[in-house]
Amino acid sequence: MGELFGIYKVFTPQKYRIFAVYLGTILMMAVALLNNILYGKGIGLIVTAVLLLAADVYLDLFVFQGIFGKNFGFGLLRNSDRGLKVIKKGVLADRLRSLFQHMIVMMFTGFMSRDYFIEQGYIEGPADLILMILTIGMTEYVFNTLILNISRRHETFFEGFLLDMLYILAGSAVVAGVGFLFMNESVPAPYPMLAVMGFLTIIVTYAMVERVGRRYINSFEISEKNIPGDDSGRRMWLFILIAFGLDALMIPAMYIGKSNGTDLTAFMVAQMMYPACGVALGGLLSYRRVRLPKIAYWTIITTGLITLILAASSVMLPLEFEMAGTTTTILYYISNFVIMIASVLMIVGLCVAGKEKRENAGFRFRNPGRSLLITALFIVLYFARVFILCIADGLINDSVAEAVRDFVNIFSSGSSVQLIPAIVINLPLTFVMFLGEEYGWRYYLQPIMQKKLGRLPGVILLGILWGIWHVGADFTYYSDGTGVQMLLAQIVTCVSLGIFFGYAYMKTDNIWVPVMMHFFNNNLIMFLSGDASVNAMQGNVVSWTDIPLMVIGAAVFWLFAFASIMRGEKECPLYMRKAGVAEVDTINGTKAVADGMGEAV
Amino acid sequence: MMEFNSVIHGENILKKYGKFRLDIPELDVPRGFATALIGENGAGKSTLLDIIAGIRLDYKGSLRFFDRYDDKDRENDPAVKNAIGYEGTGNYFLPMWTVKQGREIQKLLFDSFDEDKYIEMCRYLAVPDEDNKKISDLSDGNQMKLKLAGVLARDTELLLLDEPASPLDPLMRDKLCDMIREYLQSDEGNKSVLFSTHNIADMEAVTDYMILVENGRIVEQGFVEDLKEKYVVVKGEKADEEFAEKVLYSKSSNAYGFEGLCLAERLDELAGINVKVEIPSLSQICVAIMKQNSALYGIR
Repeated sequence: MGELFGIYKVFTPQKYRIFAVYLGTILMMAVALLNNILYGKGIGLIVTAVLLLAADVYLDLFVFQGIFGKNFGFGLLRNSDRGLKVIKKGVLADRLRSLFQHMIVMMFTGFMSRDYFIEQGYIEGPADLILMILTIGMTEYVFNTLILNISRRHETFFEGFLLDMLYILAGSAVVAGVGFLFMNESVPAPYPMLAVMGFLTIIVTYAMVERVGRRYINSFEISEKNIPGDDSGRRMWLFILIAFGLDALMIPAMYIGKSNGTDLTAFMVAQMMYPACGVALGGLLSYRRVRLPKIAYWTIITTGLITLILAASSVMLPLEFEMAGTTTTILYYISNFVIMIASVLMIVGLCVAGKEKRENAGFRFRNPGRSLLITALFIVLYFARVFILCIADGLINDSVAEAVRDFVNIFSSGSSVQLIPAIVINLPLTFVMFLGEEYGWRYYLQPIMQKKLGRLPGVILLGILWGIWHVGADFTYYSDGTGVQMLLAQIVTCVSLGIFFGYAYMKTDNIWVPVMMHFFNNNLIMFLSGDASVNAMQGNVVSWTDIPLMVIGAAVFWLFAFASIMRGEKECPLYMRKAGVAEVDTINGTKAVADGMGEAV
Repeated sequence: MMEFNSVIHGENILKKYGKFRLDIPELDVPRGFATALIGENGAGKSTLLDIIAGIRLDYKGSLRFFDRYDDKDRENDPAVKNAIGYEGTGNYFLPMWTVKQGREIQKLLFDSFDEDKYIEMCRYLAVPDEDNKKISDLSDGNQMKLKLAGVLARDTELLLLDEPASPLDPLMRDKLCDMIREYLQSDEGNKSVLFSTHNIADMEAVTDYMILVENGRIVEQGFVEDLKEKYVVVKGEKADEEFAEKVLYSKSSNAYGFEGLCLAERLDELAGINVKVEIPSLSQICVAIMKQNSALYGIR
């Protein structure tokens, strides 16, 4: 502790140090007090918390200029064998300072408003109050650190302003989310939130320390330009362990949840993140000298971890509530929230990473014209498939005309059309989940499979693996009592979609194409069923006769197996040059399968 | 030629920086002596020092230190970095550090940092006694003095000094020479200094060995005593200038006569004309070779 303090003293600019720690805290408390007087008590807390977030990030930026600035240390630190350690300890010390500062201010604000909270029934006694202070304090700290991480290049007023706005937005969302937990009567005590925030506090602090450490190392190490094609055993095993291992690990928990009648949707969210987590972690560990978009990668890893913890806890803490007419768990609600924040962070992370890092991680939006065209083609094919299935269904039941009418009704029914804006808004707010799968399957695994087996066989085997990967969900979530059929149906869907996604990815060399396709595939189900909730996907009954029907319907995708790009050399020259990161795809079954319409993956 | 042990031995050191290319097939720095790295601006002196000190790792080739450690040990074995004191230009101190913070960080960074010796050294070098002033607000000369005091206050076996003399005034340069001498004598034969300079004349008194770098290549190296035997200064009359030109490295002439440098072994070729032969100074040797090489590369 003494050593940390010593290092902290050295690393913070003398003038600002006093300001940041003492004056800054007093100033922030004054803001809190003023707010309480001006706005009454309840809203005062929230306004204060948001203002504090904004004020604090500014203070931190001042304090950190020395370490993060352009002239980040060379000579003297490199001269010592301890340079890296000292830098890391300096960052750690400063983060502890920030955490402490947040806690002090929150304590002040919290105690000041305690009567109001008790009066309103948000909290019951001093123990609750302390829990609340700790949770909000840590939440603020987590966001503060994340934003600071992003804003290290903050040099102009505009950048600072932009980041502040973002910070205020994200901060308000979080404070509102935490507030929700306290205000909702069905939540007995915010222990899960406290645990999650405690965990996040450790993670973001670690990430920050490591990040500055990497920045220091990057200042003298070789920066390699391209990732070599990597199907190295270590990386593959790491990917398999995370993408498939975590998936398998969750199956027992899902069975417990199913037998208790808990809503398992939180697992679906978490599951979609595993493949990308495998790729991101593998990338960070294997390519220490390659410049990678660290913010984006850490966002993926952190999101995967949080959603995983939330999913696992949802079985143990089945706190349910009504949302949009569906009973679901509170923790699922939070994990949606996490996905939204992660999507925003991801966009920021990718923007600030720069072209080179995006290139190295395969995140560039290449061939935009062709990409959008092929995505549109997917949507057309998607409805073509639905149409074929409707007709086939009609032929079996001798009512073709009615089947056609059903199909047309999909587009004319009010509730379906109303969903269009929702689907559009959803894309930027939830894309992380779909990237979570596609980054593993298409980006990482497809080139490796194709390298080993050839282009088309690689794509087909990938589809089969992708289908099998859904086994847990098939038995517990998507279907009710028809797990085997569901699994088969899933494999058929995954192979068909895998062929088209693989085709599109080879054609465009743009990972965002399969991501968008995957997004539309999963979200158009809502459109088809006219139901915005996750109900459409759950507890379906799949009969054996549905499966041949699905194969016929998927013929529109199978056709692409004959495309010329599926033949030729094993390695697809378009993207093999930067192969080395995985791609994954998730499958969620659907009611639409039963209806013969579609299936979420 | 004198035999010596190398304190630094490098092989096939290669570093590219856009069009610039540092290419050194073999590098030897003698142990127990002060070695000067001489060259024009942009010749690759600082790059070479940075590579040796490990400030940059983006080079190819291998290095050996103290006959025992290689470049990996430099990164992994604290003993290597503890034995090397490096002083560099550019971002040596973080910009917001005050004089006091600069001292404290060195205490944290180096086991063998002797604070009393540091303060004493600062006093000897007449660094203004202002603890709370930012280092970046000090003059270049005073910043250099702080750096020098820092490396000298540690217990090291090898000093790597990048342009220590340039920002100093003549009096301080003299003190610097004394300090380097003192350092070498404090453990005769074991301590070595490698410094880069383009103030050849001022540093001549303290230079034992010289490495001349030109356009990323070593063009001449050796002990100063040896070099002074290898080359001679020739002075002659105007009439003989044309005849002598072919053996001269460089020459300057006026209305009465000419003066130039040539290899001692080629002196025979001047037999027959009336020339005066003198022992050259180090700067005469360097300037002559530099002129020759600049001409080779088309740089004037």
